[in-house]
Amino acid sequence: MGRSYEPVNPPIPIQVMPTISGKPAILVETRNGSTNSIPVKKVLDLWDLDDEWWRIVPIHRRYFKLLIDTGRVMTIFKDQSSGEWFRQEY
Amino acid sequence: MSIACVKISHLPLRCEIARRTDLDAQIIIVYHGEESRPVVLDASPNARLRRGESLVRPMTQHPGAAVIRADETFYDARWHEIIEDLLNVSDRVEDTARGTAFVAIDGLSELYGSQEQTVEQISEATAKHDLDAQIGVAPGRFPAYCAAIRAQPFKPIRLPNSRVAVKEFLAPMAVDFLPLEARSTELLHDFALHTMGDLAAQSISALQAQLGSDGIRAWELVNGIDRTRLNTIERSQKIIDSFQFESPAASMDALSFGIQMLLNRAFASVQSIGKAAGRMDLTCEMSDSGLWDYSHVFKEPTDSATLAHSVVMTRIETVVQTDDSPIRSPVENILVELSHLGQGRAEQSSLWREEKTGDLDTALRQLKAKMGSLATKKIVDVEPWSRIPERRQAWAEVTSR
Repeated sequence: MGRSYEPVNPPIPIQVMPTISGKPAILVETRNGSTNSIPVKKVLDLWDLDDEWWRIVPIHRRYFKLLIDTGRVMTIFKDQSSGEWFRQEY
Repeated sequence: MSIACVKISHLPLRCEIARRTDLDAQIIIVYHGEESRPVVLDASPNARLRRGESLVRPMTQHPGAAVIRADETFYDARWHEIIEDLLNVSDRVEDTARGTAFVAIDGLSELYGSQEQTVEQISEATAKHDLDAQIGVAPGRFPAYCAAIRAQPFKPIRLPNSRVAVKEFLAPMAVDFLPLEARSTELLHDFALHTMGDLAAQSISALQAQLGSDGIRAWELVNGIDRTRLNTIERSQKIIDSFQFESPAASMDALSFGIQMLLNRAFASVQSIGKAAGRMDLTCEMSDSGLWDYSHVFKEPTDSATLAHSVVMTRIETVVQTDDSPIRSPVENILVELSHLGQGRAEQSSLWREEKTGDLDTALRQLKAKMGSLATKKIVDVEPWSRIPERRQAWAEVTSR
């Protein structure tokens, strides 16, 4: 034993500007020191993931599958406990 | 408890082959994910690719392959058709994951004549979809799964209702098929316990000492003891409710409020029976007698009216922006039907690993001989059934045993 494991698909922090209703409107990506704002074209799907309620910090996420302005499809989620946003394939 | 497992390996691939007959002779790679980072969802077995692998290497390795973007809605729909047909045979069906289902067949012999004829019914229900379903029948969930993965399409394997027979059937199979944590499986290999027969020969206390609760479960499974109950879906049960506006709703706010009220009530009914809804069908009746229908299949069964409301309103906000919006006059009445009621949990990936990477050690040895000490990593299933994406797979060092 004693071998280390790192997840293949970890959540990656991302900056998101949501609408008043809480849906993602603009994604802010920072690459090579420059900031790029990408408008969300369409919310294709959304679903909740609530799990591990027995832990001190339970998992409480809302996932959004997005079509963004570049034509890409991207999945992000909002950590409902901390309010932070992350990218993660589901 | 007699259980039949229906397994369709490579469901995305088979769905694509079924609808595009010209692809049959080629290597086919079905991918999904972001355009900037596409990954393999499924591929022809002779391509020797792993699910989740980046598409870059396969594209160069198989330049002539047909590379198809996954149409997961289509695959889900095909799978759902099979589940519906299985529900015609038995009312106790567990939809474990796309491509894997379990059917409780206790008591059905009286209906169909014998267990053999019951299995024949299941076989017929799946055969008409032409997706090469494998069927295994056993007195438990795990042995039924193991029987299914060893069965040939159209040739179900039926294990007798005997612990000894199940134990003998499982004995030659690799321990990798056991639903254990990857760490536990690796430890078993380290102890030279490579097959379920090796494991069955150990004492339960020794396994418990090394693997804790995993050890007890493993010992029971390899000895033909599986008390796992099916998490069945119930097609017949539906929650139907409606909401009538006092005056037709002409604004989004009013419509949103009405839908919220209706969904709160409907989902309260779902919660009161301890269930979660897998599907929602909603109809808006308008003052000009027009109808707008919307159906949504939840990724995971839910009992959240708030989530359902967000889903519906997202859809409505999209359709009202179109030139020929189907919601063109005030809404008078809304109806909702919640169905596919289950236990509020679902698994989105395979329950157990399907294939053993048999040549990996050889390839690793060759690479090491050629290149010396090489830092290599492999993807291991940690909790492939987990709803939490980062828990499913992990990078692990490749070690030769």
